Amino acid sequence: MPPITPILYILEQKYYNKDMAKRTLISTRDLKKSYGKRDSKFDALRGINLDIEEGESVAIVGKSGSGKSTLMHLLALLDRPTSGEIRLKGTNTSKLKAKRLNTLRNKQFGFVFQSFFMNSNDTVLNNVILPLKIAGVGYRERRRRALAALKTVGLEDKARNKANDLSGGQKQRVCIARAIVNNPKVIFADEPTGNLDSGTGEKIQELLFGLNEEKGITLIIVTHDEDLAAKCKRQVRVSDGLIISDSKNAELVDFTDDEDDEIDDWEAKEIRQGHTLAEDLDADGIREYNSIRRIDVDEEEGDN
Amino acid sequence: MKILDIIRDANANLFRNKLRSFLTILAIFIGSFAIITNTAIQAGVNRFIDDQVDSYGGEGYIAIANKDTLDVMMNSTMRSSKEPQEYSADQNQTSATPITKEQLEKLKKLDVIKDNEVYQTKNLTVDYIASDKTDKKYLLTAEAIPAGEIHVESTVGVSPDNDNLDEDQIMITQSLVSVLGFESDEAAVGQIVKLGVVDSYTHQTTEFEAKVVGVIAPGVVTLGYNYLNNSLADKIYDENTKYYPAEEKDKVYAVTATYDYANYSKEEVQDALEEIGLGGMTLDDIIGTIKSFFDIMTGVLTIFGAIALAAAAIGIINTLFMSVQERTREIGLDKALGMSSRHVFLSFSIEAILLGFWGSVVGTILSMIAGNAMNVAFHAEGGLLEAFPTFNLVQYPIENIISITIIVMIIAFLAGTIPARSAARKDPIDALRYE
Repeated sequence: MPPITPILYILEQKYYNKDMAKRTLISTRDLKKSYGKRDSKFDALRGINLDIEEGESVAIVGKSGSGKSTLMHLLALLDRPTSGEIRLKGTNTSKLKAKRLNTLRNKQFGFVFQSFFMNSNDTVLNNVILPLKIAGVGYRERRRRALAALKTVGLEDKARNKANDLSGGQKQRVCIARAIVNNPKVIFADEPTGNLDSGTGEKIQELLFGLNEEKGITLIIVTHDEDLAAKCKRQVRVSDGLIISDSKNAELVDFTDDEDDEIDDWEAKEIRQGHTLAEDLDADGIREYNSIRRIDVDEEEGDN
Repeated sequence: MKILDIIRDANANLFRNKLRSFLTILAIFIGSFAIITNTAIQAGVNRFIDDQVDSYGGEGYIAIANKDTLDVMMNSTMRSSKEPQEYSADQNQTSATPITKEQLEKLKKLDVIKDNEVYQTKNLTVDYIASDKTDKKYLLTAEAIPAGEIHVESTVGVSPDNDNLDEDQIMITQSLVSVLGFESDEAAVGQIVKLGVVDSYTHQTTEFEAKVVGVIAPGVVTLGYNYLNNSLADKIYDENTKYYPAEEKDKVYAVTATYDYANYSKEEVQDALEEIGLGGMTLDDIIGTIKSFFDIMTGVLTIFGAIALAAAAIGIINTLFMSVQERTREIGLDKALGMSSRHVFLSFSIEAILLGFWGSVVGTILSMIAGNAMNVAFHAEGGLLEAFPTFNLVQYPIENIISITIIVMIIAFLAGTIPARSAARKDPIDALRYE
């Protein structure tokens, strides 16, 4: 009869691993990305292994050219790796079709970019509406949700303004509203405070970390700003296409097989059932929001 | 993304760069204007001719004669469809070679001739028509009212009565009414006119009196012929042939018949006639001389329109490429936020289709305005179609407008696929980096 302890140890390991796999959101294994061919070949990522859990706030820190933005693009499923794999809830994303990836980005991810990326000639409201419009949400519903998202970032009174007329901080708040309007589970932020002065940057940070703490939205921030990085619970440092340090010292999860239904369950799960994120975040404002909406509806009818 | 949202956005994008869109639409408009106007003229001509042929009831009608005789008939056709010309004494209308007895016998036996029946037409030479209301005399092309399945449409009055042997009757063309000094079509009916026949040897004129029984409605098919009843026609024919030997009098210059249009084509009839040395002229042939004028006009317009549309298609490609370039970051954002390549393609294609649509709409509207102005101008005094008040040269059947609009939209779509494909293929990362 073999000694029981090693068996228990193996079992413990197995369950621990299973539990970890359940909580793991995005994993990369030996992730590589290169650009160009032959002589001009440039290896942006040279083998990244990383597990990100649900609800974490992770800062990917590195100098420019370190590969941190490339890593974020791959994690956000905006790009395909040259080799290696990216698993989302255990599912190897290279097996997913383009349409599924589009839907995932549209419904589960929110994006905040350093240089905002707004349609500057369009209204603030229409900019926030964009992900919902792509998702095919009806006119009234998407308007309602966009106004709620704008309320969360404190810009509901600017809804009808042109995006171009806003200050930098306001623009970034509009981008955050756009990122949360679809009630995402992950927000990817690429230098979100890079173009802002420190005071405005603080407010943006507060907003983002508020979403992380109160809603459990996973936050993945790419930055070279050490202050911003320090506010995240975890810092991953990237240099020359490799991770050189990770503040969280954990063993990598061992994926044995694809767990397809897990990604389906994860996708189907609402962050909090029945409410949009924006409404939840600003419960006090619901009555106020309703009155705004009524006024808005009246205005609309007046237009016709 | 909902298709309605894509269409709405595509339309909004068109208005984002108004001048550029306007210029592209202008190019499409020129092409569609030319083509719509062209089909409108064809529709007008065809409808008018159909109406005419219907009113004449003359399907299968064919005039048969020797070739040179037919040429004379054709020439008088061309002349008489123009304005009445004043007669001068040195003008005689020529006659031509007769159909021989053998030819006539063979003709009657031809399969292509319905019921083996032919009607002899007496080739009349009337030199002028005059009335006592004016000193002027006018050239006249006259014919006995044809027998067979023919009726002549009148504005007032009736056709000459072949069975009435007591009264000499004439039905005159409307263009003669005013020049002969009658106040109206109604006033002309019942009046007596004089038909002058000049003796070819003595150059003495014999005048025949005839009662106007009707005024012929203007149209293409009647070709400016004035119709006489048999009683009058016979008298004039006798005068025309008074010096002829007896056998010459019996000569037949032209006959009319109804060909078996159900079983034989026009060409087969012509071939059969050719074998016995004759020629035939159907209503289509007569109409063809008038149609050919419009064919040249519409042909030129079609070529012009096609060239303009080809140029416009290149304009669309150019416009949309500029638009793709300008909106690179926007496309990148759309794709990052989950818009599929198919939808990006669709949104640019729809933009192209909308350019085509607006170009076609503007082209149709302006063509209709111009077409109505043309109709009015042609019917004005001295206008091309003054003699044909029922002939609206330019007509816009709704099915033509719809089908041309769809064709222009398809051309625009095909042109748009090139830039739309380049937009759909954009990589969101590259597009987002693009400054």
